[in-house]
Amino acid sequence: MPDMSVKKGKLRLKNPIMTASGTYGYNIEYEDFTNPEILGGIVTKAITLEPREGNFWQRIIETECGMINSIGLENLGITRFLKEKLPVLLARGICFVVNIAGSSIDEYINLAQKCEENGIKMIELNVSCPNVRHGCLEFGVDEKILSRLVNSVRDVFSGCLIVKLTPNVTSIELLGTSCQKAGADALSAINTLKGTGIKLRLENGKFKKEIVTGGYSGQGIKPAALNAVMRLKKAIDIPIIGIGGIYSFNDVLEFFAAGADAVQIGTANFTHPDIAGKLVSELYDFMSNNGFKTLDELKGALRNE
Amino acid sequence: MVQKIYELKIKNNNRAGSDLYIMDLETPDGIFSKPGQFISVLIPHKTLRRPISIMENTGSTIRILYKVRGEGTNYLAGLNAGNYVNFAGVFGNFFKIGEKNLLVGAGVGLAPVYYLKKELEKIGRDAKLIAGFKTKTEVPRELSPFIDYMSTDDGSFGEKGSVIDLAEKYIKEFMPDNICICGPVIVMEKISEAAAQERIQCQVSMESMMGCSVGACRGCVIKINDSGVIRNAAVCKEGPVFDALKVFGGKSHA
Repeated sequence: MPDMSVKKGKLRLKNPIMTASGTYGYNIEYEDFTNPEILGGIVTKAITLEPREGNFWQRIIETECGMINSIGLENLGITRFLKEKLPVLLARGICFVVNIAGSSIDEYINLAQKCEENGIKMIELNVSCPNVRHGCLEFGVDEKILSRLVNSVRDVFSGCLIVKLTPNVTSIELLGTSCQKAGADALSAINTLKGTGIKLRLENGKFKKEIVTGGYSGQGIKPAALNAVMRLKKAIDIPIIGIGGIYSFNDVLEFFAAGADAVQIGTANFTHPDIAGKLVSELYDFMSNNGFKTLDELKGALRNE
Repeated sequence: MVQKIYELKIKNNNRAGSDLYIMDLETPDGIFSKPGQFISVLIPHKTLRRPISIMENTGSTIRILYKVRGEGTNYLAGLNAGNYVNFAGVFGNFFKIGEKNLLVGAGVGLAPVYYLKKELEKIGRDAKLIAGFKTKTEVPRELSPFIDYMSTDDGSFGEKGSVIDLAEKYIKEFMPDNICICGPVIVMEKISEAAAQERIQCQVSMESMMGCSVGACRGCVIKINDSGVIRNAAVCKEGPVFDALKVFGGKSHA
């Protein structure tokens, strides 16, 4: 029986197949399609100090090989999350990571403190949401500010601290390095690429336009994500969680080959709501059939020149 | 009913009227659904599933009515009997019913209210179905025997004029205790105003671009006025059927 668990420092996952923030709700939204208890970890929708309404209509649009979203961090706020959603995660024994987003360093600290007080074992700092006017992405593009943020959160949070990086920078390895120095336990990469989707339709002599600017996700971003993971792998020693356009088991292997220790499935959950669970089974079968006893064995084989 | 992904065989897929098509999908084991609910169809090589209202469920067949509008529906229109369609569902809530029901469908919006009419007839409730189309060629002929009152904008079939006027007329004449509408926003808004004036319960079926279909991504939300509180509601999970007052009463539907 292969051991699929991930144990890298404080990063502890049932297996390396996780679901990405913003695509999987807070806990059991997809349970008719995939039993959340078998997943490596669910990353919650980004949670802020106060509830947020998010952006106005129109929030999503389909593009070639993916989609653009401009949800704008709509969420129920940390208080309601702790009261309504956390108990379900705990009662069901679901492995989970709480994704937090703030408009200031103080807000991140406050959120991380609340997670610490409530026994939450893993958090992911969202410093890469391209869809809100203040905060978030501002923290993810400047290594000095990011370093200060990670340091401050590190002081109040003893669990696994993951930082989710944006690809919308010149040099992702600089940001990764500062996170590692500031005490991050793992990195996840990448968040969405800044993009615009336009749909035109001529109706009764007039153009009907749909335009959505926001984060581009889906199959089209996989090459950018693999590139980010490879560059980070060369620059840092902490574990990397690969995210971006994963739609098949082969994609998962590609991310392992690039240097990822785990992966998050995002937009693919919309296309195939049962995909995350299927990938767990496929990984299990693949390891069993090919004699890989641990993930490290499999990754070692993939990374051998 | 547990939501699932199904691969269903197409029994028929025919043009019903200009750009409207009816597809019959075989469901040998039966799939439980109620009028107002929808399925999300997978289009090969596309990221987002297409939400499509169920038009009829006979127990062994699920029927959908769709309008060819873009890549997804074009793909569907090109499929033949014997081909398979991947759909996830069944999603969403359903219409509440009354004793005397006035049902209004405009264009492709006919689908869920047609389904409701069939179900109401089965249980012997009073139901009148009004449908509006642009012109005669758009009218799905095989459905017209089940439509009680019909209008076309140009008068080429049924009464001439807007389905809004027709609905307002029958609200007064029929005095229903429940009105259900599906169609363009302007049609739903105007008819729901007429319903509100007569203090008749009115429900509308909303359309939205959807991401996840399960309430997780918040991509499809609309603003509703929930007893004075304006808040976001996911069309896929809380809807697609809403109390018209909640959607249009606050005058901010999107």
